Amino acid sequence: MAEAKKQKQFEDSHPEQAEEKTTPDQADEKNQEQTGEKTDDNDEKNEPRHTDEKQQKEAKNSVTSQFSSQVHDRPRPDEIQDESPILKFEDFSIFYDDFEAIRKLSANVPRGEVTAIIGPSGCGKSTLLNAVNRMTDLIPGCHVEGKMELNGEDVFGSGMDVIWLRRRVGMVFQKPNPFPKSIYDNVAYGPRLHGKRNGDELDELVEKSLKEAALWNEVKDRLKANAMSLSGGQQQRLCIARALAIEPHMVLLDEPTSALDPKSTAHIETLLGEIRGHYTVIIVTHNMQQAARVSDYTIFLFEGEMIEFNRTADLFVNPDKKQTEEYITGRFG
Amino acid sequence: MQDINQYQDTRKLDRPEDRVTTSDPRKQQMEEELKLLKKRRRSEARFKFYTISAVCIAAAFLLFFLVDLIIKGYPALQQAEIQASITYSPETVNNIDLAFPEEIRDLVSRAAKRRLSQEARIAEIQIPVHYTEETARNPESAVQAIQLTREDMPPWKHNFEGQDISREQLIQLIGPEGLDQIQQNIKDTPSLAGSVRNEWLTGSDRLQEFMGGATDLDDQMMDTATLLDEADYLQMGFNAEKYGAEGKTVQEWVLADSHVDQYLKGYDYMKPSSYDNTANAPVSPEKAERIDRMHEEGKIALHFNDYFFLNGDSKIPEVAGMRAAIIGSVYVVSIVFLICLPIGVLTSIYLEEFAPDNFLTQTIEVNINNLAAIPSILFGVLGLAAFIHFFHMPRSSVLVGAATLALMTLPIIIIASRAALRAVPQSIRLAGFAMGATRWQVVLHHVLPVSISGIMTGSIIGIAKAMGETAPLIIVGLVSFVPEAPVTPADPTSVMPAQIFSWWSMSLRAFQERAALGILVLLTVLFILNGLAVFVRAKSEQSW
Amino acid sequence: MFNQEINPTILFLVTAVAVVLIGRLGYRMSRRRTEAITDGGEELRSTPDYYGWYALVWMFLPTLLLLIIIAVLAVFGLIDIPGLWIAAGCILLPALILLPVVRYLHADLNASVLVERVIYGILLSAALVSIFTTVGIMLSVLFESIQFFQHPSVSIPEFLFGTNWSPGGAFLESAGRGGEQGTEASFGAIPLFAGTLVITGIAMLVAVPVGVLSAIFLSEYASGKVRKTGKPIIEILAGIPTVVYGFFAAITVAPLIVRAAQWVGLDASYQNALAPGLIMGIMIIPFMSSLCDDVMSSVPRNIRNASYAMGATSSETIKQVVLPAAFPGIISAFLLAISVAIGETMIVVMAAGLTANLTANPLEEMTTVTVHIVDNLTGDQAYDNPQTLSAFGLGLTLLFMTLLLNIVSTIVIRKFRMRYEGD
Repeated sequence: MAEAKKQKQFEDSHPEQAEEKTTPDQADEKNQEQTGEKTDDNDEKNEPRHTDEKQQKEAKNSVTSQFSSQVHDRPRPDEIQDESPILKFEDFSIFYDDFEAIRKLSANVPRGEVTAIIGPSGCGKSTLLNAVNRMTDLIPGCHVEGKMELNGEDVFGSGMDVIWLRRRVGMVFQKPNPFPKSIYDNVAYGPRLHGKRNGDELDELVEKSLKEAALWNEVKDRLKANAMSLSGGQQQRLCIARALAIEPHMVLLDEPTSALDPKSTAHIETLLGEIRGHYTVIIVTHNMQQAARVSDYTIFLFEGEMIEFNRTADLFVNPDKKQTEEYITGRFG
Repeated sequence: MQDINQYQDTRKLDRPEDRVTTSDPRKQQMEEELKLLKKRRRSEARFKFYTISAVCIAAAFLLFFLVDLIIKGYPALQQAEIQASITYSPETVNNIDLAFPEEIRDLVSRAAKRRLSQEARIAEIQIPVHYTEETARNPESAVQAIQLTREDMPPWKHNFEGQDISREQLIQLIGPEGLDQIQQNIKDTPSLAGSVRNEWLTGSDRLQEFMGGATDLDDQMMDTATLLDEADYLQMGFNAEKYGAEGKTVQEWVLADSHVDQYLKGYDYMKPSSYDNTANAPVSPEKAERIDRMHEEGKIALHFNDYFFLNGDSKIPEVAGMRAAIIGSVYVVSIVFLICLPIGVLTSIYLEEFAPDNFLTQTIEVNINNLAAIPSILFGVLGLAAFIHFFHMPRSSVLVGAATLALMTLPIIIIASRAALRAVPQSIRLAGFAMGATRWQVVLHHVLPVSISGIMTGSIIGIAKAMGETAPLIIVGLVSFVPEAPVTPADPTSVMPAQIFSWWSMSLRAFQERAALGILVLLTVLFILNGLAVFVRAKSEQSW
Repeated sequence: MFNQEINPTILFLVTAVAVVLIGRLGYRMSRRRTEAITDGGEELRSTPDYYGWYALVWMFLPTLLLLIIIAVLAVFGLIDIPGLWIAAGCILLPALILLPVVRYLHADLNASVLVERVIYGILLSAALVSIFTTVGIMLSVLFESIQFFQHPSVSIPEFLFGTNWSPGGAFLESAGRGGEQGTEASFGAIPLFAGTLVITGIAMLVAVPVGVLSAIFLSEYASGKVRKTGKPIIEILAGIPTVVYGFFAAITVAPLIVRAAQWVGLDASYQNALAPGLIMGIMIIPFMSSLCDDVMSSVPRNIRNASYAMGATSSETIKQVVLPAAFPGIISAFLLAISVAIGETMIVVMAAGLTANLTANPLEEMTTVTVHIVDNLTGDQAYDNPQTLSAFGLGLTLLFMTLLLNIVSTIVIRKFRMRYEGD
């Protein structure tokens, strides 16, 4: 029942999105005001080479049946090369002391898309996600080998300022973790850190972020209320709004719905559908249906190794590897 | 701190931004943010520096504190002694000063003089002896030779003022040497046979003690000796036994006066040069010169101060020691431990394992937490009002000190024991109950064995706290002058911190270094106790 | 209580040994009896050792109750029974009960019920000791305080608001020489409260920043190794006896302060309030630090992570997220630290003065409530002299303040903990 309802909600939200994105100009305009930087990225980079590809992509987006439409005109992950990947792994390994949590991972994560990481529990998917904004620094005994590049910049390199990295990579955690402050202060926390102290500007940003996180209507009358008073699902959307408020290049979602009830989960999936295309998103999930619903690309991790990385539709419909197939058909995990 | 190039790198690598013209607001914002980031990094470093300096302040204080105490206390580990040639002779019996060469007479400790004078003298008792021929032949009959009445005395003294003194009582006061003397006399001069003479005979050890001022002889002997003393039948004579009739010169290291000691250790307040008017100086320039010279000649030297560990408290600084206080501390703390451990463990078992969640239990819990926060001095006030004035326990005694400290230590032990019991996982209890054990059996067989080390750790820490506590003990009188270690719980006692406090409050500066050394001893003991607690905890560290 | 003829220690030891022997005998006999029952094919309702304990309970509980009654009566001087009798009773009474009890044991008897109930009783009475202690402190302080406040030369308003503390005249008055020139006793405790306040304030100025910052360093910045060495260093400060702090404050710190004051051209007393205040602050650092460490580590990890993930630096996370979240806990630690400071005795006894001096200059001599409690209770005056009794009045004030601070801080911390319950 719940599943069906979820799906329905998702579809309900979709036409809206589709409408927006049918006309590239319109979409661009919209993007400009919401996440200027993101759109710039795409424009600047993609225009010289695949001028029409993006438009094509946007057009395809409008088709409600996601898989069939998107699959074939998105490049396969192994085709994503040179400048276009936002995140690039080269023989990337993560260790907890001696234990190798991620083994020699090499992949290119596409820009502007939603990439899901799936795999049985303990396969290292959260670890991998945490490494992207170097939250792994906070875990004693955790170290990495190999290379991970964000926009061509070595994330674990000596020249990387971890604060600056995290400022550009937003993150939402498994359990909703709002600060014990007011709703407003929660969202304004990041912008304030990064120097936005102007009241009006801040108000605007908070409103915009809450709207993006589809929370605005519920909280606009009580922005000064303590965030702890929100329900679990609202708290998680608040966390998403908080992550979006710093206008990141990339958003990491670490099983964002695992601590929530089905209704809140559906709400958040809808929201993911809405921000898709504005941000590069990596989402870790233990829920395969969720991965299938919300992502463009999927990485399947098993015991620290990347078994398969493909367009979501391809991976779920005809996986290359036997292990993947076994996992998605529920034989283990 | 990041250098500027690094930010430029970041920006350059951040390719999308690179291609945006500088006039773009987004680019400007990024630049501002980077500038701000530099500031934030600085403030981060500043804040971290503050937190590190807080720890450093604490560490630096600790270092300064320990070094200062060691500098102040270390000198007390040594004590000045003088190599003296002591000439014991009959004249020195009444004036021991004569035994010392003139140049060191004012340098030797009063305590040393008193001790030497005791050694040089021997208690003598005047007894009429009736010599017979039998006396010369049979050693046993020397006892019979002793007469209980004296012909040469006025009638009222004939029989010790009418008091009956039995032969046995008298014999107890005469030493074996005294009886030998009688025999020797008649052997030396056989003509004495048949005569009665008043002889000064060597007294027994107990008589010596009596003459030395002891008051703990048994009552009857005390009465007899007092009577004889009043009648002038007792005297301190020269110890010819030891030093020969003519006297003897002995080379010996004797304890120097505290002035000499303090001067030798180089304290400013002792140097005549630090006084405008040298007459005010505790050591006159002449004396200072003499000490310096003798020190160079090796006649005055600093030796290890074993008095500190072998003696009890004294009003004379150079012989004051900590032995009585250490024993007192151990005694008091053992009783505290014996009282607190069972009550503390039983209370925590009650609260953790048995107590129903009702008003009484909550009251007890709130109570224990409040007790732990009550200033220790109020426990002293309780001890004074309840133990001393209500239960009439002897003031200054081991018992009253221990009872007061026990009440103070109890909440600490209860809180620690409860934490230890709470750390035992519920599954262990459930397993016990599932086997059909009663609640008490579960506690006794399963919960206590695994939590005992936690309880012991907490108890040792509580005990260490009791050992360092002073304030409540001042109130119940444990700071009075107690030179002897206690034997029974009703005896007055001192404890280490109280001893430190009373030395600190002495006006003589020489006591200060003893207080400091006492502190070092106390800290060492506490360090060992806490080390023991850490050891117990580490040994039994259990992961569930 | 004990007869003069027999050495009480020996009597006690002999009785103790006899009691233990009888106890063993009783336990053995009842075990043998239960063995006989089980041999007879019947099944026991409790484990065999409970029957042993059952017998012991019957043997010794009445004796113990009797002893307690006798002891209570003896303390109030109502009866006087020679020790020999009591010792004999302790041995004979259990011995008399022994046989009937052992014979009474039977298979249907659930011995564990009684034994467990007695154990419960013993545990409960142990737990009640703490209540008795509190009640004892309250009563002893309260009774003598009432006596103090009833004294003609004392009035409560004067005590609480009077600015002149000179109890010196009191003993003259009680010696029948009251009213002589300038000897009238005066018990206005404001100077003592003020001195306590100033010294506590100085201590807090040291302890709060250093304590909180070091807690931040240890819980947020220090790596495992640094934490392992840093924490004990701070904890050592907590293990140092106060008499040692007092010695250090009086002998080392006070002269340093006097010299420093002279150097900047100020006049400082050797019994200035600064030395005890500073040292008391140092003493409270570990207390403050460990309490703050506790509350900060109970702020959930994931809130911190959220802040880090937003690109906050450690200090921003601490200042804007951790500290505000832990604030109630820190306030509660602060209140507890104040209560420790106002109750601290040895440092002020040794390093602060005795003269009640109403001033705010920390370089001047000041005195505190605790100093006067000690001073008045260790003097040579009679116990019922108002000067001695004034110590109880001060003690009552101290007790009241401590309890108040403690209760408020408990409430604050409970609210704080509730907020993160389940996290």
